[in-house]
Amino acid sequence: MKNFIKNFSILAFVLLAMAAGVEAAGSIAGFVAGSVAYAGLQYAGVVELPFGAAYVNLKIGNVKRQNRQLDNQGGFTKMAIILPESFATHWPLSSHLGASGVEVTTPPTITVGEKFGNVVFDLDAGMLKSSRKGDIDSSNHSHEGSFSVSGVTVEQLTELEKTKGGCLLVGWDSDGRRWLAGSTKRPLSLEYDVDFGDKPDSKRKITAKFKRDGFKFPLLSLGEAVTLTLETLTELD
Amino acid sequence: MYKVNPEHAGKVEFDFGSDVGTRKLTQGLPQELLKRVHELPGGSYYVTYEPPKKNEVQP
Repeated sequence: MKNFIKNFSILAFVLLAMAAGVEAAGSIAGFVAGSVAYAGLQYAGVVELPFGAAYVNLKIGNVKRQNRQLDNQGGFTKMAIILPESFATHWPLSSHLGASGVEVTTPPTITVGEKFGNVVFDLDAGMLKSSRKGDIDSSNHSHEGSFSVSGVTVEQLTELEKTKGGCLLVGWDSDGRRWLAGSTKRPLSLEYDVDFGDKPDSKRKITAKFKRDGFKFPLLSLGEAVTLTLETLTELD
Repeated sequence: MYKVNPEHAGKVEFDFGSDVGTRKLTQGLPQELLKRVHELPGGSYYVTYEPPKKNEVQP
Protein backbone atom coordinates (compact mmCIF):
# COMPACT_ATOMS: atom_id res chain seq x y z
CA MET A 1 0.00 0.00 0.00
CA LYS A 2 2.87 2.35 0.91
CA ASN A 3 4.57 1.67 -2.44
CA PHE A 4 1.29 2.24 -4.28
CA ILE A 5 0.83 5.65 -2.62
CA LYS A 6 4.45 6.59 -3.40
CA ASN A 7 4.17 5.56 -7.06
CA PHE A 8 0.79 7.24 -7.38
CA SER A 9 2.20 10.45 -5.90
CA ILE A 10 5.17 10.37 -8.32
CA LEU A 11 2.83 9.85 -11.28
CA ALA A 12 0.53 12.62 -10.10
CA PHE A 13 3.47 14.99 -9.60
CA VAL A 14 4.81 14.34 -13.10
CA LEU A 15 1.34 14.62 -14.69
CA LEU A 16 0.72 17.89 -12.86
CA ALA A 17 4.04 19.27 -14.10
CA MET A 18 3.14 18.19 -17.66
CA ALA A 19 -0.28 19.79 -17.38
CA ALA A 20 1.25 23.01 -16.09
CA GLY A 21 3.73 22.97 -18.98
CA VAL A 22 0.95 22.43 -21.56
CA GLU A 23 -1.10 25.19 -19.99
CA ALA A 24 1.85 27.60 -19.99
CA ALA A 25 3.50 26.97 -23.37
CA GLY A 26 1.95 24.11 -25.31
CA SER A 27 2.39 20.36 -25.70
CA ILE A 28 6.19 20.28 -26.18
CA ALA A 29 6.65 22.33 -23.03
CA GLY A 30 4.46 19.76 -21.29
CA PHE A 31 6.91 16.96 -22.12
CA VAL A 32 9.84 19.13 -21.05
CA ALA A 33 8.18 19.98 -17.75
CA GLY A 34 7.41 16.31 -17.11
CA SER A 35 11.02 15.30 -17.81
CA VAL A 36 12.38 18.05 -15.57
CA ALA A 37 10.00 17.06 -12.77
CA TYR A 38 11.06 13.39 -13.02
CA ALA A 39 14.76 14.31 -13.11
CA GLY A 40 14.18 16.46 -10.02
CA LEU A 41 12.67 13.50 -8.20
CA GLN A 42 15.67 11.37 -9.22
CA TYR A 43 18.11 13.98 -7.97
CA ALA A 44 16.17 14.34 -4.71
CA GLY A 45 16.41 10.57 -4.25
CA VAL A 46 12.63 10.01 -4.34
CA VAL A 47 12.94 7.97 -7.55
CA GLU A 48 15.77 5.50 -7.13
CA LEU A 49 18.31 4.67 -9.79
CA PRO A 50 21.31 2.33 -9.49
CA PHE A 51 24.30 4.42 -8.34
CA GLY A 52 22.01 7.50 -8.22
CA ALA A 53 23.89 10.74 -8.74
CA ALA A 54 27.11 8.88 -9.62
CA TYR A 55 25.89 8.89 -13.21
CA VAL A 56 26.17 12.66 -13.24
CA ASN A 57 29.98 12.54 -13.43
CA LEU A 58 30.46 9.21 -15.23
CA LYS A 59 31.72 10.01 -18.70
CA ILE A 60 33.86 7.91 -21.01
CA GLY A 61 36.83 9.37 -22.85
CA ASN A 62 38.67 8.16 -25.94
CA VAL A 63 40.08 4.63 -26.00
CA LYS A 64 42.99 5.02 -28.38
CA ARG A 65 45.41 2.56 -29.94
CA GLN A 66 49.16 2.94 -29.55
CA ASN A 67 50.69 5.31 -32.13
CA ARG A 68 52.00 3.18 -35.02
CA GLN A 69 55.36 4.96 -34.87
CA LEU A 70 55.96 3.78 -31.30
CA ASP A 71 57.20 0.41 -30.12
CA ASN A 72 54.50 -1.92 -28.89
CA GLN A 73 56.48 -4.88 -27.68
CA GLY A 74 54.88 -7.41 -25.40
CA GLY A 75 56.28 -9.74 -22.80
CA PHE A 76 57.88 -9.33 -19.42
CA THR A 77 61.52 -8.93 -18.49
CA LYS A 78 61.34 -9.97 -14.85
CA MET A 79 58.97 -10.64 -12.01
CA ALA A 80 59.02 -10.33 -8.25
CA ILE A 81 57.05 -12.47 -5.82
CA ILE A 82 55.93 -11.88 -2.24
CA LEU A 83 53.71 -13.64 0.28
CA PRO A 84 50.65 -11.92 1.77
CA GLU A 85 52.11 -12.71 5.20
CA SER A 86 54.96 -10.27 4.51
CA PHE A 87 52.64 -7.25 4.55
CA ALA A 88 51.92 -5.27 7.69
CA THR A 89 48.63 -3.93 6.23
CA HIS A 90 46.43 -4.94 3.32
CA TRP A 91 47.59 -3.73 -0.11
CA PRO A 92 46.33 -2.53 -2.48
CA LEU A 93 43.06 -1.12 -1.14
CA SER A 94 40.78 1.25 -3.06
CA SER A 95 42.29 4.11 -1.07
CA HIS A 96 45.74 3.22 -2.47
CA LEU A 97 44.62 3.83 -6.06
CA GLY A 98 44.91 7.14 -7.88
CA ALA A 99 42.01 8.96 -9.49
CA SER A 100 42.21 6.62 -12.50
CA GLY A 101 41.29 3.64 -10.33
CA VAL A 102 43.80 1.40 -12.13
CA GLU A 103 47.11 2.78 -10.84
CA VAL A 104 48.54 2.19 -7.37
CA THR A 105 49.99 5.39 -5.97
CA THR A 106 50.73 4.26 -2.39
CA PRO A 107 53.67 1.93 -1.70
CA PRO A 108 52.99 -1.21 0.31
CA THR A 109 53.61 -1.34 4.04
CA ILE A 110 55.81 -4.39 4.30
CA THR A 111 56.91 -5.90 7.60
CA VAL A 112 60.35 -4.53 8.45
CA GLY A 113 63.04 -6.65 6.83
CA GLU A 114 60.70 -8.44 4.40
CA LYS A 115 61.32 -8.06 0.66
CA PHE A 116 60.02 -9.09 -2.73
CA GLY A 117 61.92 -12.09 -4.12
CA ASN A 118 63.10 -11.94 -7.74
CA VAL A 119 61.76 -14.50 -10.19
CA VAL A 120 64.52 -14.85 -12.78
CA PHE A 121 62.63 -16.75 -15.42
CA ASP A 122 63.92 -18.16 -18.71
CA LEU A 123 64.07 -15.92 -21.78
CA ASP A 124 60.59 -14.95 -22.97
CA ALA A 125 59.03 -17.30 -20.42
CA GLY A 126 57.09 -14.92 -18.16
CA MET A 127 53.50 -13.90 -18.81
CA LEU A 128 50.81 -11.90 -16.99
CA LYS A 129 47.29 -11.06 -18.06
CA SER A 130 43.89 -10.13 -16.73
CA SER A 131 40.39 -10.54 -18.13
CA ARG A 132 37.12 -8.84 -17.26
CA LYS A 133 34.09 -11.07 -17.44
CA GLY A 134 30.62 -11.58 -16.03
CA ASP A 135 27.25 -9.90 -16.26
CA ILE A 136 26.82 -6.16 -16.21
CA ASP A 137 25.82 -6.23 -12.55
CA SER A 138 28.50 -8.63 -11.37
CA SER A 139 31.53 -8.20 -13.63
CA ASN A 140 34.92 -8.98 -12.15
CA HIS A 141 38.50 -9.49 -13.26
CA SER A 142 40.71 -12.54 -13.21
CA HIS A 143 44.48 -12.25 -12.86
CA GLU A 144 46.65 -14.98 -14.25
CA GLY A 145 50.09 -15.71 -15.59
CA SER A 146 52.96 -18.14 -15.78
CA PHE A 147 56.72 -18.42 -15.75
CA SER A 148 59.28 -21.14 -16.16
CA VAL A 149 62.73 -21.42 -14.62
CA SER A 150 65.31 -23.81 -15.98
CA GLY A 151 67.02 -26.36 -13.79
CA VAL A 152 65.41 -28.13 -10.88
CA THR A 153 67.16 -27.24 -7.65
CA VAL A 154 66.35 -27.62 -3.98
CA GLU A 155 66.57 -23.82 -3.62
CA GLN A 156 63.89 -23.25 -6.29
CA LEU A 157 61.56 -25.83 -4.74
CA THR A 158 62.13 -24.47 -1.23
CA GLU A 159 60.99 -21.00 -2.28
CA LEU A 160 58.03 -22.19 -4.35
CA GLU A 161 56.80 -24.43 -1.53
CA LYS A 162 56.36 -21.31 0.60
CA THR A 163 53.51 -20.12 -1.64
CA LYS A 164 50.93 -22.64 -0.39
CA GLY A 165 48.96 -19.78 1.17
CA GLY A 166 49.02 -17.75 -2.04
CA CYS A 167 51.24 -14.99 -3.35
CA LEU A 168 51.34 -11.63 -5.13
CA LEU A 169 53.40 -11.04 -8.27
CA VAL A 170 54.74 -7.92 -9.93
CA GLY A 171 55.84 -8.07 -13.57
CA TRP A 172 58.13 -5.62 -15.38
CA ASP A 173 56.98 -5.15 -18.98
CA SER A 174 59.22 -4.26 -21.95
CA ASP A 175 58.92 -0.55 -21.13
CA GLY A 176 59.96 -1.08 -17.50
CA ARG A 177 56.45 -0.42 -16.22
CA ARG A 178 55.36 -2.56 -13.29
CA TRP A 179 52.07 -4.44 -13.11
CA LEU A 180 50.63 -6.04 -10.00
CA ALA A 181 48.73 -9.34 -10.03
CA GLY A 182 46.85 -10.42 -6.92
CA SER A 183 46.30 -8.58 -3.66
CA THR A 184 46.84 -9.39 0.00
CA LYS A 185 43.09 -9.91 0.37
CA ARG A 186 42.95 -12.19 -2.68
CA PRO A 187 46.38 -13.76 -3.13
CA LEU A 188 47.03 -15.75 -6.29
CA SER A 189 47.02 -19.52 -6.13
CA LEU A 190 50.23 -20.87 -7.62
CA GLU A 191 50.60 -24.32 -9.16
CA TYR A 192 53.80 -25.67 -10.62
CA ASP A 193 55.13 -28.63 -12.57
CA VAL A 194 58.57 -30.06 -11.96
CA ASP A 195 59.79 -31.56 -15.21
CA PHE A 196 63.02 -33.55 -15.46
CA GLY A 197 62.35 -34.70 -19.03
CA ASP A 198 62.95 -38.23 -20.27
CA LYS A 199 66.38 -38.10 -21.94
CA PRO A 200 69.62 -36.12 -21.75
CA ASP A 201 68.56 -33.55 -24.35
CA SER A 202 65.36 -32.77 -22.47
CA LYS A 203 65.37 -29.53 -20.54
CA ARG A 204 64.93 -29.68 -16.78
CA LYS A 205 62.61 -26.92 -15.66
CA ILE A 206 59.90 -25.81 -13.29
CA THR A 207 56.80 -24.32 -14.90
CA ALA A 208 54.57 -22.28 -12.60
CA LYS A 209 51.04 -21.05 -13.27
CA PHE A 210 49.12 -18.68 -11.05
CA LYS A 211 45.53 -17.46 -11.15
CA ARG A 212 42.72 -15.94 -9.11
CA ASP A 213 39.26 -14.63 -10.03
CA GLY A 214 37.04 -12.03 -8.44
CA PHE A 215 39.12 -8.86 -8.49
CA LYS A 216 37.48 -5.44 -8.70
CA PHE A 217 40.29 -4.20 -10.94
CA PRO A 218 42.48 -5.41 -13.84
CA LEU A 219 46.24 -5.80 -13.44
CA LEU A 220 47.19 -2.65 -11.56
CA SER A 221 49.94 -0.36 -12.79
CA LEU A 222 52.36 0.65 -10.04
CA GLY A 223 52.89 4.42 -10.24
CA GLU A 224 56.34 5.94 -10.54
CA ALA A 225 56.15 7.03 -6.90
CA VAL A 226 55.84 3.43 -5.69
CA THR A 227 59.21 2.06 -4.58
CA LEU A 228 59.59 -1.69 -4.10
CA THR A 229 62.07 -3.44 -1.81
CA LEU A 230 63.72 -6.38 -3.55
CA GLU A 231 66.09 -9.18 -2.63
CA THR A 232 69.54 -8.67 -4.10
CA LEU A 233 70.53 -10.79 -7.06
CA THR A 234 74.01 -12.04 -6.42
CA GLU A 235 74.70 -14.20 -9.46
CA LEU A 236 72.04 -13.84 -12.14
CA ASP A 237 70.96 -10.62 -13.81
CA MET B 1 71.80 14.00 4.84
CA TYR B 2 70.41 10.53 4.16
CA LYS B 3 72.72 7.72 5.23
CA VAL B 4 72.50 4.06 4.32
CA ASN B 5 72.49 1.69 7.28
CA PRO B 6 75.84 -0.11 6.75
CA GLU B 7 74.23 -3.39 7.75
CA HIS B 8 72.08 -3.32 4.59
CA ALA B 9 74.43 -1.66 2.13
CA GLY B 10 74.66 -3.83 -0.98
CA LYS B 11 72.28 -6.41 0.48
CA VAL B 12 68.95 -5.07 -0.73
CA GLU B 13 67.65 -3.53 -3.95
CA PHE B 14 64.96 -0.96 -4.57
CA ASP B 15 62.93 -0.50 -7.72
CA PHE B 16 62.14 3.16 -8.33
CA GLY B 17 59.91 2.80 -11.39
CA SER B 18 60.57 2.82 -15.12
CA ASP B 19 62.51 6.11 -15.15
CA VAL B 20 65.20 4.99 -12.68
CA GLY B 21 64.89 1.21 -12.56
CA THR B 22 66.22 -1.19 -9.94
CA ARG B 23 69.22 -0.02 -7.92
CA LYS B 24 71.25 -1.76 -5.24
CA LEU B 25 71.26 0.18 -1.96
CA THR B 26 74.59 1.94 -1.53
CA GLN B 27 75.66 5.29 -0.13
CA GLY B 28 76.61 6.21 -3.71
CA LEU B 29 72.96 6.55 -4.75
CA PRO B 30 71.72 10.13 -5.20
CA GLN B 31 70.31 11.67 -2.03
CA GLU B 32 66.96 12.03 -3.82
CA LEU B 33 66.66 8.23 -4.15
CA LEU B 34 67.85 7.63 -0.59
CA LYS B 35 65.14 10.07 0.51
CA ARG B 36 62.55 7.98 -1.33
CA VAL B 37 63.74 4.87 0.51
CA HIS B 38 63.71 6.70 3.84
CA GLU B 39 60.13 7.86 3.24
CA LEU B 40 58.84 4.34 2.58
CA PRO B 41 56.84 2.75 5.38
CA GLY B 42 59.63 1.31 7.55
CA GLY B 43 62.23 2.94 5.28
CA SER B 44 64.33 4.19 8.21
CA TYR B 45 65.35 0.55 8.70
CA TYR B 46 67.50 0.94 5.57
CA VAL B 47 68.21 4.68 5.34
CA THR B 48 68.43 7.16 8.21
CA TYR B 49 68.29 10.92 8.10
CA GLU B 50 70.77 13.12 9.88
CA PRO B 51 69.93 16.81 9.94
CA PRO B 52 72.77 19.00 8.63
CA LYS B 53 75.12 20.28 11.31
CA LYS B 54 75.73 23.97 11.65
CA ASN B 55 78.04 25.36 8.92
CA GLU B 56 78.16 21.93 7.22
CA VAL B 57 78.20 22.05 3.40
CA GLN B 58 75.73 19.62 1.82
CA PRO B 59 77.10 17.36 -0.94
